[in-house]
Amino acid sequence: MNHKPISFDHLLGVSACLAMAVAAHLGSLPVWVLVTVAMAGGIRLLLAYRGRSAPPRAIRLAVAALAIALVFAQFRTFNGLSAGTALLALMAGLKLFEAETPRDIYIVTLSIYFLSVSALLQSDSFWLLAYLIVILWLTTASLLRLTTRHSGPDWRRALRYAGRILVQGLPLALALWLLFPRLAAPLWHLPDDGSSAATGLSDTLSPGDIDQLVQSDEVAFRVRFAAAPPPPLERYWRGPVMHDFDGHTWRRAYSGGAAPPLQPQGPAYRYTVSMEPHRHNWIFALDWPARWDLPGGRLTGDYTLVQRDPLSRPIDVAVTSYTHVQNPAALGTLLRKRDTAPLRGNPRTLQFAHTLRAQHPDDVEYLRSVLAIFTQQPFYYTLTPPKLAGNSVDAFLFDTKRGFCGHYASAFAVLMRAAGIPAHIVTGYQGGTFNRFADYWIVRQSDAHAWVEVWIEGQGWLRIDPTSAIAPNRVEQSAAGALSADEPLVSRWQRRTPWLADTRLRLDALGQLWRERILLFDQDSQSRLLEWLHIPEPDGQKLVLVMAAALTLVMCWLTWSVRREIEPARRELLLRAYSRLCAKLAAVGIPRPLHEGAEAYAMRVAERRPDLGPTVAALCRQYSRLRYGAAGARITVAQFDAAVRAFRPRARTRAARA
Amino acid sequence: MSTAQTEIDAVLAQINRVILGKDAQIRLCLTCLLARGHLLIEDIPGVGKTTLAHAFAKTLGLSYQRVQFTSDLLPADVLGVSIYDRETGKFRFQRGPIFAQLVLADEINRASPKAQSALLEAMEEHQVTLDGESMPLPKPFFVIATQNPQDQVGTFPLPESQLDRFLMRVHLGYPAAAAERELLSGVERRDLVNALSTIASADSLRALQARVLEVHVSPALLDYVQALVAHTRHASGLNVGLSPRAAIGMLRAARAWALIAGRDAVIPEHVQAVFAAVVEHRVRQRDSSPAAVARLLEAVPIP
Repeated sequence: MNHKPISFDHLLGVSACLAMAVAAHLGSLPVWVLVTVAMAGGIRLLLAYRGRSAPPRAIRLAVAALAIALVFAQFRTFNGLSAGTALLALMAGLKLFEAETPRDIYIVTLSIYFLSVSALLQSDSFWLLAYLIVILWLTTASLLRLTTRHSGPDWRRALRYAGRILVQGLPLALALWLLFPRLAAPLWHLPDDGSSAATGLSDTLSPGDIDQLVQSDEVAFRVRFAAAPPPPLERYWRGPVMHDFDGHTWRRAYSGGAAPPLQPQGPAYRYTVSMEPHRHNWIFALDWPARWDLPGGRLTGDYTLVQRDPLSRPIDVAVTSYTHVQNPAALGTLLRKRDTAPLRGNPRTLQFAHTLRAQHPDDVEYLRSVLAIFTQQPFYYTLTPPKLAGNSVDAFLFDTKRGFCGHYASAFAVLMRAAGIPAHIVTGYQGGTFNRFADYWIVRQSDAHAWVEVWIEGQGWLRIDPTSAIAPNRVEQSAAGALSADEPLVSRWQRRTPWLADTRLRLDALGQLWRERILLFDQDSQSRLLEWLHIPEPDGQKLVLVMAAALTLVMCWLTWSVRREIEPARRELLLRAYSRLCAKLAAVGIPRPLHEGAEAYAMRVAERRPDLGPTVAALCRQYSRLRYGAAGARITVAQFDAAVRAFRPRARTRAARA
Repeated sequence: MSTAQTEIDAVLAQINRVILGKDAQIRLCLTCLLARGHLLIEDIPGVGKTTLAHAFAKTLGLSYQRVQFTSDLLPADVLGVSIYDRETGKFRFQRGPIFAQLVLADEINRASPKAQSALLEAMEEHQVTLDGESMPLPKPFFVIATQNPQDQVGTFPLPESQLDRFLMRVHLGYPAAAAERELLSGVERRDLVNALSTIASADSLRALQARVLEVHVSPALLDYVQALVAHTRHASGLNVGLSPRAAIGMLRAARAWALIAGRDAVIPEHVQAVFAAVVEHRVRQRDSSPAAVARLLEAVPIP
């Protein structure tokens, strides 16, 4: 074991790598862990800079014991992802703190590798992986600088060498990725502590909920249509449906068991929804979903597509929807009761509704006159509406008259219910951005929307979007298109810089490619791969065999290429054949000195052994031609090799000499 | 056999009839000429240096001039001088002996460094610049300089930097007994040279020089040349290694040698054949015997 002390340079390199690896966990590690690691590294570097060694043993032990106690105090365990990562980061930092010999640095380096891999348990984004590869590269380079003798190679050479090692590892990684048996269900769940998926629709709707959401630029889901997408006015992505209203907030309620079947009309739209993880179990499908390819997926009584568990990881769902349907069945009493439930609060609204209903006894007439109120009265559409408390619908309808889709949907639904017409609010998304670089649609949180469905006898559920009565262009473009210039919106500056928006779309397309090709490669994909390789009835056992074969091939290739590099002289058949010829002649007593040219050698052989002269002269001449001549020699290397193999000089016997 | 080959063989045969028993040296001289290099012959007087130069000029159909270098030689004596012409009232440049296709610079080390460098600059640049006017030298232009290593008193030996301008240095040496016998019994050499027929011409010589550059050089051979050059830079016993110019010259000489040998590609033996002549005068050796150069070759395996 090498006990030479390590230089400041080495410490600096490995500290930088550790800092980068810990940075990959920034969101998940407790702050005190980050501070401890940073201080440990900083103090050690400062000491090394001043040419001093690590702090005394007692201090180191005390710090370590304290750190371990703190981890236990915080997590109540050393198991699990969070506690394990915190412990690993702390130990790496404290090892750096006491680093004296190369051995200590090796341990820190190994911890960096582990920390990097554990970051992949938190997220599987393409950018994280790219970042981790950079860490891996730098760490390997700093390790190389430490392991080689003398002062070690400079950074540039070490980086080049480490890069080569990484590239050589690529075929191995590829073989393992393609062929390592996949489990149908993941061994561990990604952390579901609620903080990771903060934005998104929830199962309640209060005034102001959606306007906060619309400020967020996060992607909710992406959609790839198999053929042409539906027209913009029909792109309503259905989410949770709200039935219960307490005067301020809408909530979900009993959804009435299985959904009554709908009669599709018009064209079917087939598409794949790539959902981002969120806290709930619904999947945003185009209004109205008819078929879907999702294990455990079903429609709720109000036609929302859901799965059994919350979406803890990204999934792709293939869905078929019809934008036009007929609802032949009558509304069940239970559902009617639910959607016409008596309303609390908002007395002015109820009073107004009763007056209006008296004038319009017909449901459709009444509906039209309510919509007319929104178009004719000075209602404004804004992202920053005044705060409403208490009887929010009263305040909105009669006082402020400024609101966003949630306000309008809520007010409209209340007015409908007050007149005894069944109505509920549907939340979801509307529209989306087309990514022309990869032919799919991006639906962001900023596309969040709320609309109303009312039951008209004989027609079934009708989708009414009261917001479109205020600002019709709101429904035709994205939310940003309908907003006035003084509205604060993240995406406004993007409209002003088209190239930036383009770049963002391109990056998104890259991420989507990563997701479709890499992350969603599963057991089925492996089976298809084996089928493609013409392996009948693919199963786990055959997969392992193919993997073993592939790994063997890769290792053979690596060995061969390394050997070729170490022994370049062996790489050419010509040189092998020529050395064989020289060996045969050496065996009969005429060795070739290394500096002697082939033809000079032939002449010397001819002098010593006239009987061999012509053959050897011809062979050596051929060798010269093949090795030094212009391309297009008369004989090939293989022929020369055969001729050398056929050449069998006999040792000169005493009789022959005489 | 190509016409080029016939021509080369005829030239060699004819010169061999005049200079007896010096086949290798004559071959090196022709190699140097075809490689567009200049030749330094280092030997005592009376071994046939002048005869050799004259025989080459005659056989190849080149214009020939001989300059005897002495301590009072001036650059103008070599390059030429501007003379006032009274009739035309203008200066007229009187060309010096250097304006010939083959120049024999005899005993170059006896002249002053000033005169030496006048010659060497003309050799390098293939032109003469006087009074701000450049005059090209004839083509081909080939200098054979001789140097007498024996008497060092009152001489100015060429420094290494100047020696580097000569592609090769050869020694003629005493003739072998049989050749000497023939010399003594045969016809007067001067008459023999005067009676020589012209085999080649300046044009055909330039064609041959162009052919030299067509001789194939394989990467394997370049490896060998580089290994040799690298060895001279690291080997003990040498004060200075080969310059890149020397390496280029060595490769070109090897190509010319291959052409003379009738080959279309250079092989390591060709490099070895010209190695001593190209290298010896460029590396300052503590041990300057021919065996030392042979040791250099032996130390480098053919890759």
